Amino acid sequence: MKIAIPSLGSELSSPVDNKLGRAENFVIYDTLSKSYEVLENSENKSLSQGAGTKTAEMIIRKKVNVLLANNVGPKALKAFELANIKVFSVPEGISVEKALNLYNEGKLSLS
Amino acid sequence: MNKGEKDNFVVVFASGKGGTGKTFVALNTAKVLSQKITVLDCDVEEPNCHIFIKGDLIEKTETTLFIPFVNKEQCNGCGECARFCEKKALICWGVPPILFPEMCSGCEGCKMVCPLNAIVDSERVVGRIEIRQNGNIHLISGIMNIGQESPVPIIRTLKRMISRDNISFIDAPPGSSCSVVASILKADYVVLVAEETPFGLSDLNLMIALSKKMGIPAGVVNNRKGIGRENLSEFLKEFGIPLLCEIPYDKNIFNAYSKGELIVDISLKYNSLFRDFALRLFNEVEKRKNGKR
Repeated sequence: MKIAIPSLGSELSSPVDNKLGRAENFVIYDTLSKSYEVLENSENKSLSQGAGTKTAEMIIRKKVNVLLANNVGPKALKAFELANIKVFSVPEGISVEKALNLYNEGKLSLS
Repeated sequence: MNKGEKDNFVVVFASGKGGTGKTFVALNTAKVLSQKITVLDCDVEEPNCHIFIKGDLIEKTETTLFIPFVNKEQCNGCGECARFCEKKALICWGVPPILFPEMCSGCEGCKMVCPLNAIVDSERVVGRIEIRQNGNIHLISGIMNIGQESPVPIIRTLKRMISRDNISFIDAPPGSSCSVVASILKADYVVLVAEETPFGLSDLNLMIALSKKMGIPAGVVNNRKGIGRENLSEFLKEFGIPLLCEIPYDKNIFNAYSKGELIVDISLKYNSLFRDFALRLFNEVEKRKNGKR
């Protein structure tokens, strides 16, 4: 299973980015291999319009199953819903690793 | 103005900065004219001309805009439409695209690039047009629906309603972006309503640059003269743009305006000031039109 998390940096210890469409990067964590890749979001975040929907498109294309994010707008949320991606809300200011742990412990609720 | 009824030019009242008096100058000028005039309220996000021109509503129509309808049986999810869409209103991930209608500008590009002709015409309501008549003034107002992203389609619809049988005034929205460009496009003259404040002159500067770039002659009205410490006449010297009229900072004007009244209806002094301005403006427009020929 693949989990996407918007991130300010490129490590698991990096803080979660509280934006979605204009997030710096996305960490895509693979629960099977316990490895991750980092997706740069530089192209989408500089769009004048449609950053949220285009970012959603990028994440959906990565065949992600779950998104952990602080703030997801209504348009992106609709796209994730149609692509059967579950979106969970994470508290502001925590690390990517902490967000993953909270998810594994079942402590996050659906957006 | 010896041509009288034959005049059919289009004058836009714009400002850059909001609240300088576009509507005030446009409507008071329209009101002192003897001939028929069309007034277009292009400030479709906050139209207000109807507050001052209290005519009965004689027509109301919905404004619609193209949106794509995707024929799912014909679509293979190639994503060409989503890649093309400048407004990012379509997204696609290998299945038929998803449309966010409020983001679509109605350009029809998606329909053109679709290799399978899977996109057909549909439409959505983006606002409405209301027409009122009061004396010599034929008022056409555009009203954008809440939640729409762009006022431009409604402004375009309004501008298609300009009659070439009479003079038209356009009350433009504030700012100097797309909606103002759409309002000014193809006009014969732009009246820039300015105020002598730092913001006022800074935004006037942008509007002078915009009208120059669009090749439309401009003149300036100094409204609420004395409101700030800047000097408009001094500022205009380097641009070679005429100062057409100066309107004093006068409490009587506020009192009338706050009640939805036009000052030319209740004050002889301002009635004659606006008559003089109209004369000056029309001469200026004619001069520029003849100069172009």
